[in-house]
Formats: sequence, structure tokens, C-alpha cells
Amino acid sequence: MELLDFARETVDETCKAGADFADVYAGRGRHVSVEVENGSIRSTDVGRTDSLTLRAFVGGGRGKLSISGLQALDTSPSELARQAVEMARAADRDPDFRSLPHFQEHQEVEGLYDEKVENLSPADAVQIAGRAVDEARAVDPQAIVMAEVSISAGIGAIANSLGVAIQRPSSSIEHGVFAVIRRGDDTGAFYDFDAGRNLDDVDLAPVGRSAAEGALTFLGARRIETRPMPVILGPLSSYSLMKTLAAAANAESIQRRRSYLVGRLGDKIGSSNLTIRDDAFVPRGLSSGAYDAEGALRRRVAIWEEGRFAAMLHNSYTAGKADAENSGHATRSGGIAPTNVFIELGKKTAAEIISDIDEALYINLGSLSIHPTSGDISTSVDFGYKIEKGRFAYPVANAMLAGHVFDLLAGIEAVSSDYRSEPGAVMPTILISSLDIAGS
Amino acid sequence: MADAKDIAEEVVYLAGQRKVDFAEVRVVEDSTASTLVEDGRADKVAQSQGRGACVRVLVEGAWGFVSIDTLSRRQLLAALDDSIELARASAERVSDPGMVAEAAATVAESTAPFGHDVRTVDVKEKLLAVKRLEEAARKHGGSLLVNSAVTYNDVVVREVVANTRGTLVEQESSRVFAACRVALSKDGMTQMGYERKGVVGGFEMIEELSADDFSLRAVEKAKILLSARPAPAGTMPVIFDPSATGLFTHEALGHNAEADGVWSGQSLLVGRMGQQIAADCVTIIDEPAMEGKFGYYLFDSEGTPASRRVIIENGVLKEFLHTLETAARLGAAPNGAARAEGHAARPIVRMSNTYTAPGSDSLDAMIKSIDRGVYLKDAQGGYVFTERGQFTCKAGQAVMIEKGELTEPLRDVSVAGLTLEILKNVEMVGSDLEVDWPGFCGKSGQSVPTAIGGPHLKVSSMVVGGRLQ
Repeated sequence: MELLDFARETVDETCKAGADFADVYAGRGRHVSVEVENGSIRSTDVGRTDSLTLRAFVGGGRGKLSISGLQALDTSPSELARQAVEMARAADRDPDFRSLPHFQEHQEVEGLYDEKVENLSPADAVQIAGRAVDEARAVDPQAIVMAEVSISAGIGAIANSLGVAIQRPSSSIEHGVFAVIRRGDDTGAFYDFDAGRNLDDVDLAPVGRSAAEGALTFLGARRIETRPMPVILGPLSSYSLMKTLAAAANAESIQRRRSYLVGRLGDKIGSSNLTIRDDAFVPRGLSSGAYDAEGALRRRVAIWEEGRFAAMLHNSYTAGKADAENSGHATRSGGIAPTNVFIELGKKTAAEIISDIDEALYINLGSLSIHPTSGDISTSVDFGYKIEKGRFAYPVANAMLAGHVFDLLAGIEAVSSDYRSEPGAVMPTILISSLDIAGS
Repeated sequence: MADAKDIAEEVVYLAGQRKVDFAEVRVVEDSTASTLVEDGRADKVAQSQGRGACVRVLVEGAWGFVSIDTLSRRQLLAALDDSIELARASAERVSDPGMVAEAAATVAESTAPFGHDVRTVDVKEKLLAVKRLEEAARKHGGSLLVNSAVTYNDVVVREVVANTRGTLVEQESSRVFAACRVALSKDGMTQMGYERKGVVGGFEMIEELSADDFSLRAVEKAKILLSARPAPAGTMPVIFDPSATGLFTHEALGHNAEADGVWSGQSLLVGRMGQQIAADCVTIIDEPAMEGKFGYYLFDSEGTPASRRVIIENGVLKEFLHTLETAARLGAAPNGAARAEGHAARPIVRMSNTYTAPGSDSLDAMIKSIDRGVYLKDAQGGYVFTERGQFTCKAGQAVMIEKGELTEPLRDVSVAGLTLEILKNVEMVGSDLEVDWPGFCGKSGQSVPTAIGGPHLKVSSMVVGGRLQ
């Protein structure tokens, strides 16, 4: 039976069994991965998955049943329905639950599936991984190279009791390399990656080289003094901050009053340089898709506008509870998450931002670990450089940084005009006026 | 799982006929139940059922691995063909051929001890028990409480492992985990408190849990944070409570003692076996067979009996954690540290219940020995870059130490250090021991249950990621 037909039949059976609402997410796919350890192929793996998640709602109480091994399942849709409804009946009623999403017709975003990715063989993945090793070792023959190539393709189907019936194929290819270079007791290490849904969007060859070149720059790390300092986030680190700031707009966390953004909607919290939007409709984007995991049509959301916290991200539950428009950000686990996140670019290039600053800590890779409730920041600097007189001076060892998210947001002094680009992601350089640095 | 055993044995037998160097079949079935009670409402109930199998082969020095979401004999035989093909496809890029230790075959059946079987507990009974914990959180939180949530999960896993060396192990275990999370708010500040408990066992863990004690602990943590000031920044002496000692032990040393990283050159312990790498007072152990602990098991996912691993003894590096392959590569005896998250993942080197062994010092003596430092409590999470040994540990609670006395509470804070430096900076080890903190350790995309602990521990100097005063 087609996946979508099975999903629809299960939804129908669940309503017959007594659910007010029901939905099903079913997926079938194949995953190929190749792992490299110290330059040698460690293993080549293939996984085939076949799974279903059924949710039944009775009086707003939710029963959820997840099954893997669907194809081999000897249980009928009616039996799955019975189990889910039994759980929903055991759950408390929830008057805040209003409805699952209704179906809204929309064209799917272009470029979510590429046959060329699905047709890549394990041997192709082995070749890609092998090239990464060669590239890294061309930089340093003694480089210790860890790498992974990961290829996925499959079909996802979503159906619900309000007419949602969507089936779509998707594909992705990811390639990451971690290179370690040792000189006696000194160690430099760095990671780089490339990812896309389409084979043409990934440039796999340079990843090994850039990881090894990055590792060389971290040799000779030194400690820095404990004191406040401007912080510059490089593209990999800035994107992590942008994602974190978008994720903080999670309406459920705010409605449940466990977020540092409770009561702050509409307030200007950050600097005027902070404008972040979420856009799931970017062709070929890694997080793109016209519909969320509940089958709700996604909306573009301007989350931060010139420092003002402008909008929350919703799923059907939080939108119903707030009587707001559903922005379509439901995840498969029942939560809320951003999709592709973009920040408004500034006027200076990254090189100009760096050359204009007398002293700063530059973070090349890593997140700032903002506490989702208190907004406190206390985190390690794992891949950082000291900047002195507008130039990279030396890599930094064993340093930490701390502050509060509101100080950080108010202190966003500049966003670069140039950026690293990945499908559905623009990753610029960001200057923060000051954070507390702990070192020697 | 009689059928599963038969199928696994048959596929392994047929693999042997195909002249592979080694083949292994695992069949895994799991069932989970979970509930969430939040803000007084138990409105989310979930169950899952998983079943699947995998075949792993070593052919001409190359590994191939195929997992399938079914127990069908036909598909498992196809998976065997595919895994052999995969291994052959990667052979030309294998410069470091795979190998498997010559270990005695293990034939065993094992069921981890439990009291009240979670499968016999009705969903309504589970909900009632979890509601009791959440009600206590709301009661103790009082007017400061803005959010309370208690999660409950149980999982029963049955695993059959068979390989071409004659191993055939069937084991079953049940894990129960509960966590209480509260957010309290006062004067515009919101802070979170968190408490967790997890065992390999049955529903008795929940039945024996005092709702008042468990949830009150989460509330008290948040209350303290509301009146705490930020920790100071800089390098200073720290004391770890037993949970923080466990986290430090797991992150800073444990991951570096995983032999796959040693073989690949990624661990900083390469070439240091037998050397003094820590202060004399440091002994670190990874011990799977600690009954009831969250990282408990008797046989690993390759069917190897799990040994007690003394990684560091009195400061000297003694043993790494091994799979069958790393044991062969490093010329060591397999010690049963190969673990896989379900059927869709390969077994890799993992920790179990990891702790620092107790010493002879008292917490009082540690506090008195510090002029200005920080006492770290309530370990929350951490990570390490093994190639440098640079690790980070987050503590949910902290207390300032000034002139030999505990003074004021501090907010949650992270500390960082370099493994080899900090192991030598351990000055005092407490005489207490607790290994009661359950967690899920992530590595290479796989998450496995572990436990951590130890005694109180004093480190003479490390970086505290606090605020400038």
C-alpha cells in the first residue's frame, strides 16, 4: 500500500475509534553513511527505515504511538488506532487544544529532492570520503582525518482528519571533516562541512582541505587574560547564534513562561543591527518545505526587526491557544523550531570589521549556549583567535566567555556585508561590543 | 525471541559459508512508554514500538553494515549480501584494515533485575504517579512558580547478538527515568531548577520516589538561583560535588580512554599507557555491572562480557575501553565496552557507569583549604574535544568560597580545563561516593544511557566562566 494511503486509512480508523482529531506522519527511506577514522574508511553503512507516528486527540488530550518496521508490521490500522485512542482517553483533557491544521493548497518548494543524490551508491560515498582524506593530507601529510559522508533519500507522508494529505520525496547529502594536526605536544584541530539537498549545491572536494588548513591555524594556542572584550563571531559561529535567537521565539516556551522572552513581544531588546527572519520557502534550502510536520502551511516570519522582538513561531497548539495565526513551525517531535534563518546584512565586509578593531576575541566555530530560561551565557571558547590591532594575532587556549543575552543583543555592533553561503543559509560575521572573557 | 535467535544464527552460519572474516547479526526489539505532566495537566501520553536487525561483516579488511526495520528472514539474507558488497566497495580506500580480537565465544542469556515490571503497569497508573510528582512541584513552588513539568519514560529492550566466532547472547533490560523541571520567577527574573532519577529496574523506582523530596529538590534549586549572583570569572580553585566529579570524570578522562580515539590518534592518551597522567590520589573506574545504575549491562552489543575497567589507578593510566576491534588493534583483552543505540547503529566504544573512586579527604577540609574559589554542584552537561583534552562542564548550582568558608550562592556556571593539566591539579579526593546521576551520552550520532558520580573533589586551579565583578 502507498504510504499516504496507509496514513489516511490510519487517520480514518483513529477517528472511527473515537478520536476528535488524528494525524499521521509516515516515512520510508534509505540512508548511506561512510565513516573515516584516521584517514582510513572505518565502515560503510546502509540503513533502511520505515516508520509511522500516529497522534489521536480526545478532548485535547493526546495519545501518540510511534512504530518502526511498518512494512513488516502485522498490526492493522484499526489496531494502531485503538491503542492511540486508548492513550488519548487516559490523558487529561486540554481545553487549550483547539484544532489540528486544515489543508491549504500550495505548491511545494522547488529543489527538495534530487534523483542524483538518491542514485549515489555507497561506492560513490566512499570516493567522496577518500577525496577528503587526500585533500587534507595534501595540506599536511601527517594530518589525522576523521570524516563522514551521509546521504539520505526517502518519502514522507502527512495526513490528518481535517483533509491534510501530503506526500513528498526529499534528499540530502552532508559531508563533514575534522582534521587534527600535531606538532609534538601542540595540537591544532578544525572542522568543516558542506551540505545540500541537491548534488549540484555541494562542493565536496574542498572540505578536507579547509578543515586541515583551519587545523594549522590553531597550532600554538595561548591563554588570554581575564577581562571584558569585544567578540567577533565568524560565519559558522554567527549562524549558530542566529538559529538560537530564532529558536527563542518558540511560542510554547513563552506561553509556558519558561523563556527569557516572556512578556517581551514588541519590545526593542537588541541593537538596530538585529533583523532576523525565518523563511521556509527558499528553493533548495536545507530546512525548506511548504508544510510543517503537522501539514500546516508555513509562513515567512520576521522574528527580530531592528532589535525589536517582533513575532513568535507557532505550531497548531500554540496558535490555537493564543488565537493567533499558525506560522507552521511544528516539528515531528511535537515541538516548534525555526527553518531557514536569515539576518539583515550590514555595510562593512568581515575584513573591514576585523581591521577596524583594536582588540577582540574571534570565535570561528561554536555556539554561545544561551540559557533558554534565564538568558545567562557561560560557555567555552573552543575555536577562538585573539585579534590585536586589526589582525589575527594567535589562537586562544582554554578560555571562556560569559554575559547575558540582553547585553549581547544590545551589543550587536555590526553584521558583515559578505557571508558564507549554504543552501537556505546566509552566514555573515557579527561584531558584539563586549562580553566577559575568562582566561588566565 | 526464539525466532530472532534462530534467524540470527542462520544468517551468521550462512555468512560463514561466504568466507567473510567476521560477521555479526543483532536483532533488537524495544518498547517505550512516556508521559508529560505540565502545569497540572497530564495531556501527553506516548508509546513506541521498534523492531529491527542489522548485519555487520568484515571482508578483506573492510567493514560493511546494513540495518533494516524488519525481522524478515528474506530481508535479513538480502542485508547479508548487501553488507558484503558494501565492504568490498570500500576495500580500496581502507589503508588500515579492520580486525577482530580472538575472544572466547560467549553463549548466555541475561535479564537485568527489576522489581515491578513496567509492562504490567497500566498507563493510567503511570499517569497518576507522575501527576503526584508534578503536584508536589506546584505545591512547593507556590506563588513563585511559573512553569512545572515532570517527564516519565520507560523502555524495555531485548537484544540478540550472534557472530561467526560462536557468540550467541540474548539479553533484556528495562530502564525507568523521571525528571522534574520547574521555572520560578521573582522581580522580573526567571530561573530553572531540574532534578532527575533513572535506573535499570522497574516501576518500583517511581513508587519508592518521595514526591516531596524529588520535586522539592528541583524547586529549591530554582529558589536559590533567584537570589544568587553570577559566579566570578577567571582561574581559581574549585570543589566538585559528586555529580560534578562524575561529569568531569566522564568528559575530561572517560572519552579520552575510549580506544577508538586512541587508535585513530584523536585521543590525547596515545602513547601514555602505564604513565603517571594524574595526581596520585586519582583512581577512575568504568563499571557496567553496577546493579540498578543507569549505565548497567552484563554483556555489550558485541556479546562480550562487561568487565570492570580501572582506567586510572593512583594516577597511572592502566586500561582503555574496548570493542572487539580496538582490543585487536591495541593488543588488549576485550572488556565489553561496545555499545550500539538500537539496531540501526554499529557498536562503538562507549562508557557505562563512570566514577572517580573515593579517597580520604572531607568536604570541610577542602573548603577550609581555599581562600577564594567556587564549589560546583548539580552537574548538568558537558563535552570534550579529545584531541586537545579541552573539556567544559556545566553546573546548575554553585557556592562562593571565601577565606575557607562557603559564603553566598552563585548562579549556574560552566568551567573549562585541559584534561592532562586538571588531572594533575586534583589535590584532594573525598571519602564519600555517589554514582547516582543518570544521563544520555552522545557520540557519533548515537545516544546511550550512562551514569556518573564520585566523591567530592578539589582541583587547585581551573577556568570559571563567570562574570567580571
